[in-house]
Amino acid sequence: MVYSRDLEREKTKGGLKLPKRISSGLGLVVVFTLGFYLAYKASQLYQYQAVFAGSYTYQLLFTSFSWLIPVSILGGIFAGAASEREQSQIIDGQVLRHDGLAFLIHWSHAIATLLLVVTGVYLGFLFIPRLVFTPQSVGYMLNLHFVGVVVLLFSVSCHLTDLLLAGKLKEHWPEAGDFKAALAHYAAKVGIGTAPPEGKYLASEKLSYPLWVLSVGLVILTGLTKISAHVWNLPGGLMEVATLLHDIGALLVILNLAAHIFFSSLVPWSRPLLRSMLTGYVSEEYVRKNHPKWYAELSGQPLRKTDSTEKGSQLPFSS
Amino acid sequence: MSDNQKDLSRRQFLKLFAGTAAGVAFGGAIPQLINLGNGVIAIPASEGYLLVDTGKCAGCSSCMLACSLVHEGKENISLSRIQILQNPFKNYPDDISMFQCRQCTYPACVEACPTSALYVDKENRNIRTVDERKCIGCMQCVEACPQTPSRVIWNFEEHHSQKCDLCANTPFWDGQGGPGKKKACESVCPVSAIKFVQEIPTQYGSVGYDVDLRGPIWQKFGFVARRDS
Repeated sequence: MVYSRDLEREKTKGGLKLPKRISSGLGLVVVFTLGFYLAYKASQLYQYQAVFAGSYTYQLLFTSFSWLIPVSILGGIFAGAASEREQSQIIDGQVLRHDGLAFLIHWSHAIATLLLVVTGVYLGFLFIPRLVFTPQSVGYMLNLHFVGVVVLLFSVSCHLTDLLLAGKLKEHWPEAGDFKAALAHYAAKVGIGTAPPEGKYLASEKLSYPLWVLSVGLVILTGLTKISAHVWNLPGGLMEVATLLHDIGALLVILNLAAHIFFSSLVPWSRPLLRSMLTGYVSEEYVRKNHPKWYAELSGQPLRKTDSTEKGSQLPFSS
Repeated sequence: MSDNQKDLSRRQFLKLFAGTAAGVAFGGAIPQLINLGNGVIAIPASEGYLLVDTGKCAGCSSCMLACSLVHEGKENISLSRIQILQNPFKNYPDDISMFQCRQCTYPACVEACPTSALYVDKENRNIRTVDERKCIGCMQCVEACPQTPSRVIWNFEEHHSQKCDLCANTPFWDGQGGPGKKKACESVCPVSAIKFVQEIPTQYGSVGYDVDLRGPIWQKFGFVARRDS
């Protein structure tokens, strides 16, 4: 039902392929199921030196599967370069907001980040105490962390490749006046003033993008440094700085994630966008009311001076 | 037109990317093909060991407090690298157990560490020690230690493993620590139940490490003089 529109689009192309959204979703389920299984199996203790009774260890995926790190980055670059983006257009009162690649990038990033945050918190960092105490449970958390790293690197490299090749960085990056527009947007949500006309991406979304780049970029760079220590003998000072910055970056990611989940899932007016992140589509009416600039681009109609995000249109207490 | 240009640039990028990836993969494989593996890595023996006498130990825990104090700056027996356990349900000499790092000739903890944070410190007479800055907290060394309890301790406050370094790195001690110098536990023990030696003790069982440190004068005080007494 939900994906019938996607299926119709695929049929018109003359193929029998599954819609990208479904195949990406299935792919993610398979990857994470295998990842959880592998992480669990690897964290079981085994006797690794017969000469010493009681000398046990577990398999650390960061060491034994370190080759998966460059493979996931290369896979992400390949997927980002090979994927064809679907253009947003109005079809039967519906607008394609998030295509198959957006679905893949967003949900792989989201699940991987959640997994990394949860396992990172369990392992303890900065002022947060460690919540796992036995080598097996520590191993399981570290191995799950590895699964999250592999998927996150795939997702980020896929996103960056697509962004650079399509020249879409400008769409996401904030412009002058976005801060004022974001304030006016949320003021209008609580009934104060009128919201400015928004484009495809809200001003507040664009403002949050550099924060994501900073926090995720910091975590990835320092994380890769820490992973390198499994292959090369790095200086202690470098590892110390990398660990501290990794922890600070993780804290920033947690704050960003909390804000993102609140504004994109919990507040009632974000529900259509959350739904489109699953189904791909928002209604034409929603776009006309909440993203007038984008609607003007899609419909080919000029943006009227009176166009603005409708005051209180998505408020929970509005009719 | 613009779509065609975009497709073309993506195609060009893919070709370039595939070529580069294949080149890197092939280039990376060459050293693997040439390198046939280095087999056994020799690990030099430590030039210092701590011996204890559990029959002499009074169980005062001074060594544990001193160990924690000189290394961590606080007296916390959970952070001590030497462990003294007391069992009130057993009689002498089984009521007290002393667990010190054996500085094994073949250190399983060093072998297990994935980031070389636990290493053989050649500048300090080959002691087996932890570079805490490099520790990733995987606890593989804690599990790998063949002794029970593990001689590698988990520092729950700073999230890293630690072990006896024969006081080579004691930032909170104004004394000169190290394998060739003073050891905090040995220095504070009121009954001299801990002794530093340079000779490699017998590696099998605990016989080589739990020795008789009592002299003839010990009997004059009315204490049990010999281990087998």
